[in-house]
Amino acid sequence: MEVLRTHSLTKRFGPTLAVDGISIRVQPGEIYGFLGLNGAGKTTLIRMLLGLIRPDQGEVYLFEKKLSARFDAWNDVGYLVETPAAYPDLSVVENLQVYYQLRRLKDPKRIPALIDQLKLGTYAHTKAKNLSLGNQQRLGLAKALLHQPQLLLLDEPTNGLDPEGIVEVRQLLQALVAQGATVFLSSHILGEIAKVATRLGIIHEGRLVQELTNQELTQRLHRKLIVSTLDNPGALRQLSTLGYQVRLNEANELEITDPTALEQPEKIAQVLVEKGYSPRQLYRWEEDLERYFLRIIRNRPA
Amino acid sequence: MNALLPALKAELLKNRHASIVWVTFVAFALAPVMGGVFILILREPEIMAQSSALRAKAQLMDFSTDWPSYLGLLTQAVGVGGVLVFGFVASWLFGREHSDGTAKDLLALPTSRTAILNAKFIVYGLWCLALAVSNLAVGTLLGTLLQLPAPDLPLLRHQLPIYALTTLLTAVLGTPLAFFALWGKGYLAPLGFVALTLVFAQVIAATGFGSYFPWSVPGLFSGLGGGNALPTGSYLLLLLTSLAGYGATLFYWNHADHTK
Repeated sequence: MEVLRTHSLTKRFGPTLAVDGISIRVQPGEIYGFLGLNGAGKTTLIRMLLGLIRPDQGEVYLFEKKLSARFDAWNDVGYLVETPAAYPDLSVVENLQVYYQLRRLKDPKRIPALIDQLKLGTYAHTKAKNLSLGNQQRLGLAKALLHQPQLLLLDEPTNGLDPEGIVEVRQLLQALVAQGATVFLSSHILGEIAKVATRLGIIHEGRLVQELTNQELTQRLHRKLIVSTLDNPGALRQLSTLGYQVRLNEANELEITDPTALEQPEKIAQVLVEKGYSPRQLYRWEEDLERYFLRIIRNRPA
Repeated sequence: MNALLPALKAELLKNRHASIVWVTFVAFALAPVMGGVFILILREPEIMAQSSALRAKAQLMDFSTDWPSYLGLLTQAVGVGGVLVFGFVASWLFGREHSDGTAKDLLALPTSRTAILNAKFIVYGLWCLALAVSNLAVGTLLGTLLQLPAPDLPLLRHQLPIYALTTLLTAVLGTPLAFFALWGKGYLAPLGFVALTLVFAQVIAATGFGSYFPWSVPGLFSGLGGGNALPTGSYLLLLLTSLAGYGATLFYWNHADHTK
């Protein structure tokens, strides 16, 4: 069973095509990371998944049920859209009590347990308007998790969190997935998404440009060996003679993309020493998700 | 009903610490206090001589120091001031979700969107009722303290239903404001609409067509025009306006794109 499926989802606001024919499938237990620049269509897509915006074309299926006014499985879905919001004059506990009522829950111990889980205990009786941005984000996550949903739709869930908070959210999401939940999260913090997502979708100008698993991403990332000697042009000639794929980059360093060199960089060091070009520095460089993302969207045909 | 009760509980919770609640009660208490001041002035010739503006106002309103006059003033306060204060309540109840950014959290829940709006309308109705009762209670207290001559039963039987109906006629005009609050995504649009209706209500009533302008009807019914009788069409028009406001609010909330 697919937890989330969209078919040719399209939304236009006046002349702007916000989302253009997006079809995605999310399997149970996945953490699906949705990457895109600001204005790429991420939030519009999440709002369509929640029925907040009606698509011009296409359908959304949650738990194999078509999303419509009669959709009745909202207690299986938790969400956090854009900036977290709360009733400013209510405390953390009171804010959660509002959604406890609206979600028609019957477990009074759930609110204190969740406050404890999200480390909001010190602020349980603090008014929402007096919370820091990070704690407002925790309260937003608490609202999303209150009813222990099977599917979490999170838009920029680590916004405003300090490094410790970011690690906690990552661990929390992984723990939830281990318990059987599925997570669909959008972010522009690419490094963070790379650490947590099991599958990635890249959205640009409303279109799904690429979809790949974490393993596929690892295979597609550019890697190279960066070497620097006292005479780089001489070392370049020597390595080329030996059949290595090598070039001088903009910083006048040697870039070797030969797979055998990447697997056994010690051999390159040995060859260079033997030929009188002792390396001053030698390291493996791997493209990060940020660079990969920019390469994908820039190389895309207009 | 199953969905309405939790929605109602949630709505009451949301307003638990809202200082705006007390602001509306204080604002609505101004009318009975003003009536009390009129009574004091009219009773004391020395103060009356010094307060020519208030005296002129009291005389213009044909105000006298007895219960019929005082209750009439309170009723007119609901019919005219209620458009403003009840309008303020409706603007806040329905506009706050967008101003606080919480509207998006109310749209994908097991409690339906319609139940959430109906709970808001119920809280709005209860709030208006509480304001009307408080207005009457403050008036009764002040009237007793100022030792107005004891009212007779036929007077109360005549005036209290008019007071209750004026409250009802004013309160039901809150539904279009709910629509403007959702459509305008905040308080500003409905508050602007309240200001416009107040101005138009005065101007249109002055030209003699007030009975066909829904926002003039409660004031005219309260006795501002010299009597309570209005054509049936006036009430129908007001009812249609209210129903249209309710329908538009529900339709917009259920079918519009919620991008904020």
